[in-house]
Amino acid sequence: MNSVRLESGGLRQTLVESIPKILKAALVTAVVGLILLVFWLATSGIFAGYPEYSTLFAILAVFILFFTFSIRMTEGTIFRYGFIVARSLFLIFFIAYATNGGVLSIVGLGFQFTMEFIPILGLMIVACLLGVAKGLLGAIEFISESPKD
Amino acid sequence: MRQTIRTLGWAIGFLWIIILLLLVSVAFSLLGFAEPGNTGIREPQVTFSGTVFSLSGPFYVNNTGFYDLSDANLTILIGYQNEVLKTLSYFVPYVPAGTVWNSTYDASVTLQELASGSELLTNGTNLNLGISASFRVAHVLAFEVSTNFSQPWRAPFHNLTIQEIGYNPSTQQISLLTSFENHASFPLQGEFLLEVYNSRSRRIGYFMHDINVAASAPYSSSYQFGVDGFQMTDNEVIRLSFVGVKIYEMEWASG
Repeated sequence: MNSVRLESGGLRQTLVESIPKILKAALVTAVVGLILLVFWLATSGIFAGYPEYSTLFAILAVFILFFTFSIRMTEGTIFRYGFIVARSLFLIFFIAYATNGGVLSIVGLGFQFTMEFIPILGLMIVACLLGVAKGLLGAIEFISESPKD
Repeated sequence: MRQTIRTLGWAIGFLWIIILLLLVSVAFSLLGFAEPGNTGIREPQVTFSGTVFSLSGPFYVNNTGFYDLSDANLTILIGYQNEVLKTLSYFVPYVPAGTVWNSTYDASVTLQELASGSELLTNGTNLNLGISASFRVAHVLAFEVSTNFSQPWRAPFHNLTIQEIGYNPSTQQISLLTSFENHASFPLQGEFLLEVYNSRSRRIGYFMHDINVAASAPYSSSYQFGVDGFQMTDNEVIRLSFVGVKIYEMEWASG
């Protein structure tokens, strides 16, 4: 009976201790969300002829916000690095898929506008791969610095 | 280890900044390039000589952007119904940033190519034009703009007819009336040939003379010429050619 009380007290204490962390993560996520909103307002007009833009941007925004919150929430744990690596891998696949492998076509006003930016896509993927490497190295460092049982 | 991670972080940030700067600067370059007056075609000239229609004139590209333009290519497809009559292509290899490229274009279509579109010489219609322009900016970004539209075509031998065909066995002469309207914007000047073939595809008579029909003017003329009466069959074919290109053919029941 006493141990149950102790456990529930510990959980409450953990939750109370987590509140500032949750608030901080929510605040950072809100700021990122605001930046994404401004970016959306600035670019939705330009990509009006690209019908999939809204859907793709919504998917990107949801995942970016999820990873931002998760990485902030799991600060000080090994999971943080897992989320960093997952975010970079998601970005690689998402960028390659959303840009149709670096060739985008927009139709509007009787014109078909095609843009090919495979070298730029390559640079973006390299940046994301460096992000994966950074996450993995961070995880290795975290493990090496953690006190052994 | 910590320094390696920090360096990686810097490298990632640096890469994303380069990508963003490149994209933004290319967008600004293109906006400047798209401004009116930076690309243009000056007064094209339409001529018709021999069997060739020519459209020629100077064009220029003023690269006001930050980056060189390369592999610029303009392709024009001229089609009738679902058939491509002619493909015209112009290639501009390299326009460095801050320079103006001056050149001339020369598009020519022969009468034979137009005649392949069956009724184009004798009937006004709409031609399908497909235009695509492509170029590369900073050697890494390629753009292509393409569009399709229809252009009214005014036939040079509009409503071509051969009427009042008659054969006089005593003089062995054929008489006929040929008429058409030159709806084109250029005059028709050249050799006009009338031929008569029998049912065994053997030429039994012909008449040749030069015509000169002004743009948007009607033409009507009677012809009388001799044929080999012994070679005549029940069904003859009358063929009209202009500067060596067959433009019209009809069957005539002489029997």
